[in-house]
Amino acid sequence: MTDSLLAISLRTLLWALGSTLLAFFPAIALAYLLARRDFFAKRCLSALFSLPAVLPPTAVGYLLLRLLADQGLLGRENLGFDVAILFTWKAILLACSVMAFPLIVRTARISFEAVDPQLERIGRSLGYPPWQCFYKITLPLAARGLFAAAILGFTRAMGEFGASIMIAGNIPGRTQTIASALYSAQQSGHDTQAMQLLLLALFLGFVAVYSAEYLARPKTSATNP
Amino acid sequence: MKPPSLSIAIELALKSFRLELNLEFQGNVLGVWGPSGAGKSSLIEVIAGLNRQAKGRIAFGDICWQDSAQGQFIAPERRRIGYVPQAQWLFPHRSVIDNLLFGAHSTRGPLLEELCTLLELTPLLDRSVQQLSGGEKQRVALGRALNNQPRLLLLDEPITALDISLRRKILPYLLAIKARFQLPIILITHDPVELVALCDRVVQLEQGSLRHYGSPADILNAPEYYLSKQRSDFENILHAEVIEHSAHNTRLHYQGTTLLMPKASAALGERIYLSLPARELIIARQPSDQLSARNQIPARIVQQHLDRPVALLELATECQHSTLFAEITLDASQQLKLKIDDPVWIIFKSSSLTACS
Repeated sequence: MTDSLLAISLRTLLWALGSTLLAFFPAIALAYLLARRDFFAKRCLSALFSLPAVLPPTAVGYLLLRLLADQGLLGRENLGFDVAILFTWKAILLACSVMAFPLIVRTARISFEAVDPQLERIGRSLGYPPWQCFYKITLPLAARGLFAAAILGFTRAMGEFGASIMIAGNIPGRTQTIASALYSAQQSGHDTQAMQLLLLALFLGFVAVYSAEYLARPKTSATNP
Repeated sequence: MKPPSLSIAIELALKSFRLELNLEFQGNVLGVWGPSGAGKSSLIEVIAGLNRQAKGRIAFGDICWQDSAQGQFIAPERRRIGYVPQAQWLFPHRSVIDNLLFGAHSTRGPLLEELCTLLELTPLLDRSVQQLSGGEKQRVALGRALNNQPRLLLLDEPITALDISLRRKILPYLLAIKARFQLPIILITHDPVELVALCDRVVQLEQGSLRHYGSPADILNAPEYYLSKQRSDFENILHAEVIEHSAHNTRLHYQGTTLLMPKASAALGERIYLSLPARELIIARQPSDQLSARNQIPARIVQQHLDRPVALLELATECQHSTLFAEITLDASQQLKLKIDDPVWIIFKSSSLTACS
């Protein structure tokens, strides 16, 4: 153990935050599309983007590894340059984003679906184009749910282990997170450190889930009869 | 100045039928009438541009809103319409005043002040939407649509037939809007009083097709309308002028005769709409001063419909030949030997009259 507990925690929090931000905006766009539009292969698209939530994380990690390997679809030989992601902190961000993505989409989609589309139609009759109706009506009404989605994505990213370890490894001081540090501590018999990391994970997880629960229950209903 | 004309020639496939309408309208208020599921709300949505599935042509004034053959379609936000749907009227995350100000052309100016007075919104302004009753929400939605300075107002009245008196609370406001704003209005309504009191012309839809286009009286005086009603449901609608208030009664002037009703709140000289259920009318060969019923009007029988458990008489009043319907038993009709063109007296109690506006 060369890393302090504080450094591991800060790094994990930072990476979780970064990957949540990375996944959040495309996830919101997809969630809105799935909530509001009917289009060809909608179910197919929805299922495809839900896969990271149901596959073993190591399988997702392995898929990313194959994609980013030198001969992979996004590897050096195909792109003509080295994206240099594997086994760096960027790989952690990528793995965490991919794993958090379906959770954010799912929660955001439910929040969008709870806003009656009739309100957007009224917005348009009042002279606002669709993007302004989204911005002025749907977004504020879904805001609490979207915030909850972000927090859930964040917790998923914080706890991510399987996919990250496949593409970023578990390099102390470079790509080690609370999850991978706990694994190392247990494997090498450092029980005190493992216990500390467990308590830390428990505390951060509880705060995040509690906030999400609180935010997911709106004070005012998004519909009016 | 004449209001702009609305020209509609559209087709729209709905679940079990096609909505097909070909119509020119130039006037103040166009009523849309018909059973629920006849395609009325879809028609309003097509006019608003909120339903893009329809094919055909819609023009308002000299602006073409939609022409499918030319691939032309003006987005709803560019049509300058006011749209008040059946439900989900207000934005729940905004206060009443913020709802009223929500609109690309809305301002906090003299128009808003006038609307607040006209629709009695001033005491509601600082409230949250959740604190409003259904009728208040509907008024705020009307105010919000009007504050955006629309060129055409589209109103989709909900079918809340359960409580007709509650529904009629909106009528005086609609009358005030009609009188104040020379604004074309398309109104979906299920209330015969609204039809008579507000509409210049009425489109009657059935299964998506135009069944009739005419005056409100054409539609309400058609026997098939009466026959479609549940017994004891049908109301005659009278437009009368308040001429005198006494301690317990109000005297009204109606087509050359005087009517008496329980004391109404309307001012002297005001013209109000009254409802008179067909089942409340008594038909007599002679007037009588031996009865407690206070209202007696001379009339003539225009038509008799005897193919129901009760006889339906279509009567023309002596003075201005407006139509009233009376429901009496078949026995009574036979005993009085009533025939078409017979002069009769229509008799009813003052309490049979109810003010609607």
